[in-house]
Amino acid sequence: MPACEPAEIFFFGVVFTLWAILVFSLADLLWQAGMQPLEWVQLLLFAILSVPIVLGAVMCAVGFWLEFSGGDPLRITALPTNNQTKIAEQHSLTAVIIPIFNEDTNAVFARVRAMFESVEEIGARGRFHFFILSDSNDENIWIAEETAWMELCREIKCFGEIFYRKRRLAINKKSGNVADFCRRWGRRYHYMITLDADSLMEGFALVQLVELMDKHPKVGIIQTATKLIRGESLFARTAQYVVEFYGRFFCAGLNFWQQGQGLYWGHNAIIRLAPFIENCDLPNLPGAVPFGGHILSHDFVEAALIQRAGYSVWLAYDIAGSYEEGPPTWIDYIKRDRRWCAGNLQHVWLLFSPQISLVNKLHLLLGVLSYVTSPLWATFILATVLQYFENLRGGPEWKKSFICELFRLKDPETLATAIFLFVVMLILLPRLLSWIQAGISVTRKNYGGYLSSLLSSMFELCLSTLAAPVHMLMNTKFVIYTALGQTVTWGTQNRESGEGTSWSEAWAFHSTHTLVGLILSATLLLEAPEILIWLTPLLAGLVFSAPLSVLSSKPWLGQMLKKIGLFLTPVEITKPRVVEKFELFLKLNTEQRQKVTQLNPVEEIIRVIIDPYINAVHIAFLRRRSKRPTRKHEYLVRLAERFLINGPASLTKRERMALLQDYESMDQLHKKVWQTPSTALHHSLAQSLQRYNLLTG
Amino acid sequence: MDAHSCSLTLSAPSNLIGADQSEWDEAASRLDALLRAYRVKSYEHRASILLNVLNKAREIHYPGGPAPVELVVAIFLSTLGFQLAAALDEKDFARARLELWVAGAVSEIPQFFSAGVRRDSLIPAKRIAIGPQLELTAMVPKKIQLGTVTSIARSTFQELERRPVFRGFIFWLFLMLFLVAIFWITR
Repeated sequence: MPACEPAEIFFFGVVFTLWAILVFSLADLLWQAGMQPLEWVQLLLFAILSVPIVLGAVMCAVGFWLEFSGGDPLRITALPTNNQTKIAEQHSLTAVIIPIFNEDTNAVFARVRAMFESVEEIGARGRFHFFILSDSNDENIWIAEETAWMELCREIKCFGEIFYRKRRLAINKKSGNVADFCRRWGRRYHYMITLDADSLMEGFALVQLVELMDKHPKVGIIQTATKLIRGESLFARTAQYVVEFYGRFFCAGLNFWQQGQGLYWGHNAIIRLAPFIENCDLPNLPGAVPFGGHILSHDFVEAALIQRAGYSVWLAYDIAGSYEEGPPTWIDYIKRDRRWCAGNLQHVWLLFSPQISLVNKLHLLLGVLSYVTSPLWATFILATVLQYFENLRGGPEWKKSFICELFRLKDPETLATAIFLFVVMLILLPRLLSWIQAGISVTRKNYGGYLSSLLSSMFELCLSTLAAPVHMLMNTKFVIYTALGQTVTWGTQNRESGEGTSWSEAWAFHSTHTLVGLILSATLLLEAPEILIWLTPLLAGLVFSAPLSVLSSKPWLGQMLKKIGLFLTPVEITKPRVVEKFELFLKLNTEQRQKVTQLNPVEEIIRVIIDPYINAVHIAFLRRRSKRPTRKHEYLVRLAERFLINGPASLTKRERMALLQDYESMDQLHKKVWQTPSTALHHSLAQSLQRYNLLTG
Repeated sequence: MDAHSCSLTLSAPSNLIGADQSEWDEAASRLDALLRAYRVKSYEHRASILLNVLNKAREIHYPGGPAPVELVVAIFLSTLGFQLAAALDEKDFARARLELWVAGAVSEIPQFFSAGVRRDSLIPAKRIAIGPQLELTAMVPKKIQLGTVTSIARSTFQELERRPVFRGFIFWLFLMLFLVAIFWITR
């Protein structure tokens, strides 16, 4: 690992200095007037809340400086190769794994095909094996996945290079899915590139990651900085604009101080398999869920564990061609935050571990703070308003503070305004620096020109300001619910915007926010109208949360703004080849699927029993047992008889899954359904056979 | 048919055992549907197979025996299975079906019921790989030392989990303290 202490010392020195100036200024201001109990609360909360703000601003500023000084020499793509290291003459074999859970099958397989062909185009076919690791518990999706895999392999002749695996028991969710892969096939591969169901990577990015791992044998994980793509709604397009326009400075700044002690975000990253298998199986946390038990947000912890074993983790923020899709609506984003909140709060357990490095602890702490700060912000705002009322009733006289004297400020209000403006400046710094960069660099063309990027940023600033109070309330609720022991279900994320959020859904979701906003507005209007103007952005966000939610979810609005050049990103202006291919294959898959469904409108469970080839594919994935226990055999025979006589609807989901998971039952059901006269079959099956009879071919 | 399938046999209603023309019609219709499901698109091919199989079925059918549908489908499947096994060296019928499909050799099906099979067209299908060879590794969690603070917190939580009444008391105590603090702060 390269020496990285000077960078860390410089970075945290700047962060600490700025933070100390801010906190001292407020303390000085409050102290001179005589500290009230509420002011103690304010000061303490301000000291905590200003840490992430200062950290973010400094990271962004450092990233900006690095970009204009020719790039950080201490980045994984620029680090010299260790002379002792012999670069492998033969390239390493890498598994690209895609864990999925009830995802859109057409999209998953279109992505796999796009990536596979991207690898093939650059002559790297044979160096990567793709694994679709399914935990889907929806029987229709399961059958559709198997069929899609077989169709894909047939079409592009890639048997032995693209694999599909379905777990019988989805233990420990995604991390359990990955661990299962590692146990079964981990030894066959040098590296593993983990992807999410919505991840997409160019072939050259996959190859670049492998070559970096070959060059640096003590690197355990290399994380890429993903770009958001294919956003249609206003919300999704704003998010992808933010990631592209401001995100790169953050990533460069993050890499500057974390160096080889980086983060793993769970996808679009390459992992050295041997140390990962050796060290990164997750232990359960003490206690019960939601704080204890299985670790939900596994990625941060896996990064810490592989570093504990002596391997570094890098953020390769300058590797292009790494993409993912974001939530299409605001409500989907908040639902995802609910899961992430539960996952991050669990990390509290690890903050005091002597086996985890200080930098890793800081990562974990920042993850916790990203949610815990919401209730703290709410308390801070409440304390500030209450203090204001207190002062109205005749609070202590303001005196000139030390800083007022030092800078010859005429009154404490000037100092208060200066602190406020300084905090606002820190919050807006990423935007300011991005505007500067857009003004002086040719990259502005990638965002539709300077004026377009300026307008986009202003618009985005308004939207994020309005959204902030809702996030604050929701995250406060999530933190309280988690603290009170409410668990969270880790379901499938919605990835398609469709028609967007309906008004009824928006009112149901945001009614509390609207109500809180109206009550606060009315109270302030009656009691202290002079501070209403200061709190208008906060209150407007709450009052108009439902309309904002509906409008921001609409694809037509996103597309309209795209036409007039707002929120354009480089990826939207020049679509990457892998994205183009993915969209083409997605269209083909969807059309093909619609054609099949129109020809044979039957449930997948009926299709897998009727169709000889789909049945054969399904059976090929099942384990054939030499002998089944008698009781189980009798149970399955009874289920099969019920299936044929009373139809699939007569079986519970669990019973249908039991049949689908049994080799002999599926084999025999296929034969029996064709051999049984219509009068002895359930009408749904008889009709399905008839439809196949009429329409196939 | 193996023991499993025998136990799964569903009998046709007794009024159909006599095997009248409607039953043979249903059998022919069912076989035609099955051939379509096998993606045999040619009418001529389907017709030749139908005649072939129906003739064999009529020869061996006897009153009180299996229903014509059962018989006709069983003859078709067993003939296909036998021929595929010979062509592919694959005794598992399901696996053979899969390889037939992957090879795109569905047009060969009619030949299974006549002169013979062109083995060479099916051989590439043997490349199907469902999954790579398993190479099992032991991936087991290593214990993380959580530190003194966390250990104390853990034992406290465990104690609280064991005593629900005490837990409730602590919760209400904290709530009361919180309210008192707010009252005090706002005075």
